[in-house]
Amino acid sequence: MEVFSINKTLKKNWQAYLFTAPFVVLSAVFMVYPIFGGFVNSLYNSKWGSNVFVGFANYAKIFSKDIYLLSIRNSLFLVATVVPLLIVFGLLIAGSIFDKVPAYVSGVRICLYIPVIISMVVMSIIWRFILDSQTGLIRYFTMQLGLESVDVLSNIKWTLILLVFILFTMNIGQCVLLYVADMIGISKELIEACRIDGGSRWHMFRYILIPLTKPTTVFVFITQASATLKTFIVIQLLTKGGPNFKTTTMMFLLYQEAFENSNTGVASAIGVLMFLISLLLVTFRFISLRREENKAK
Amino acid sequence: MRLKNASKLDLISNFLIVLFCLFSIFPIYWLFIGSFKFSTDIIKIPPDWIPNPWTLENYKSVFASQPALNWIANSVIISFGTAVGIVLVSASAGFALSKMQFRGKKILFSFVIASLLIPMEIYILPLYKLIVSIGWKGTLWGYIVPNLALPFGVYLMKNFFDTIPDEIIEAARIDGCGTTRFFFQFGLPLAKPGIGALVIMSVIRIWNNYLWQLLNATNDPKSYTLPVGITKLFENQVEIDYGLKFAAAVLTALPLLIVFFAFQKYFTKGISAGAVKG
Repeated sequence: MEVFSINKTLKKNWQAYLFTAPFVVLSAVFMVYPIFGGFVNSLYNSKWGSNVFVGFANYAKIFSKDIYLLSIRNSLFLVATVVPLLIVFGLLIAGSIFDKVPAYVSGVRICLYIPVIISMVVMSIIWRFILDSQTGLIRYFTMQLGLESVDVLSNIKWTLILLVFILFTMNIGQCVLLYVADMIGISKELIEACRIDGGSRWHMFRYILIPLTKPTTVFVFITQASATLKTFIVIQLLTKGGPNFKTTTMMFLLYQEAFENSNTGVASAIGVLMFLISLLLVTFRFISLRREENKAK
Repeated sequence: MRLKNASKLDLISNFLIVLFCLFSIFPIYWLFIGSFKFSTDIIKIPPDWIPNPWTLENYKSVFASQPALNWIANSVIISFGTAVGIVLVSASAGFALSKMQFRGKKILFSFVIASLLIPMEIYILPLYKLIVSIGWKGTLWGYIVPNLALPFGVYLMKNFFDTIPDEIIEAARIDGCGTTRFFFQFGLPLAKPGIGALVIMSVIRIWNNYLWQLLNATNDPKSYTLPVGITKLFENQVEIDYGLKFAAAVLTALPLLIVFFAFQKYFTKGISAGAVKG
């Protein structure tokens, strides 16, 4: 009976299954399977070639050792600072330029978007060079200002803040692009009406731009949070997680544990934790989508 | 609406924005002109804001001392190969999700939306083990195949096919054109703008996909791609030939800048198509 109905479904839908098969098979093998594999691996301790089932010991280790906790804290700190900055300045920049002459708008967009397209590797290399305390431009500027030469890339207090700023400059273009596209679509009458009523730009922001671009804000929040969570290249090429693990992120630690310390159990557990954080974002995404749908009805 | 009747606050904020724009492209300027300086001039203080003298030495030595041609070839083949694959996989799945009725459609679409937010980095270790165990490490298969199922691509293509009215398919069906034939004969050509956006975004994504390429490369420098090649230059060395490193970095950055300027229109379209429709 059961077989019969499956056969019937197949017969009715075979064309659609053929069309979706490449995507389904590829994501099953190269995404779903590794995610499950990662969860299984996280329950084993596979250091030194042996594979011992240890239950949740790897997780216990993560939540009891300072290095791991620090990496979680740093990753969350980056998400909690970079993402709001991107949203606030994305809105401010887009809202200040969107109603100007098109050439100016696209000029700004291009300048800010170039660092987004250029490989993070290249951007990191050049920042690494500019900020080098011995050979970089920063030495020249500190000398000009009559300051002591400072190693901004290994400062206990400030290096993480510096990374917030660098990540910000690497991603702001994406947000400005999205907000400008959205704001240009807002009806001209609405904006003109605000102006005629004597509304300042602040009023325009408060009552038109911010509320009407809310779906974009949600989108930027979710995608940028997901992107910031996996921060790796910048850390690998600028600070190597230092000084004293102050800039070690979850992704950087995952890489270190997996490919340099061959401590795959702990690395997998970090991956699972990151997956769970991503699932939070996914849930948030579905809630916001449902809300938009309900509003559309 | 133009600049002249903007308020004072507006003027100040736009002035700051222009400053920030200059600041944001300065590193790229510094990289490009650095690649035309002699290595000793690059680290000179006070710096030369324009190369003095100009030289092509760095570019010559990248090609002479490193297998840079292999890196370029690898990056080009991998990026375009993956992009073509992504388009085929995404267009067919996106078409089915938009224009066909089948059991499991809702689940599949939810899966696409959910997996948009699951970056590869999270499961990179088990994925790496998988690729090693099937013997793909270092091969083109290893570079390309794990990147073919791109949820964003499926999502983008579904959105594009959604804009094609169902009546066209109905009309074609009455004329005896099946769904599959419709896809190849009319669907793909109609989705050209979407496909263009997807190709460009995929090429950029894969060109810059450092971590996976780093893991998939073998110890043979000839198997590197451009981003892997540059990071391996002078790795763990005290003496760094910055000129050479800059030249290699320019080789990595320049092709994408050209693609960006040539196809700017597609960018805005593709990126906002992904966002605006939720």
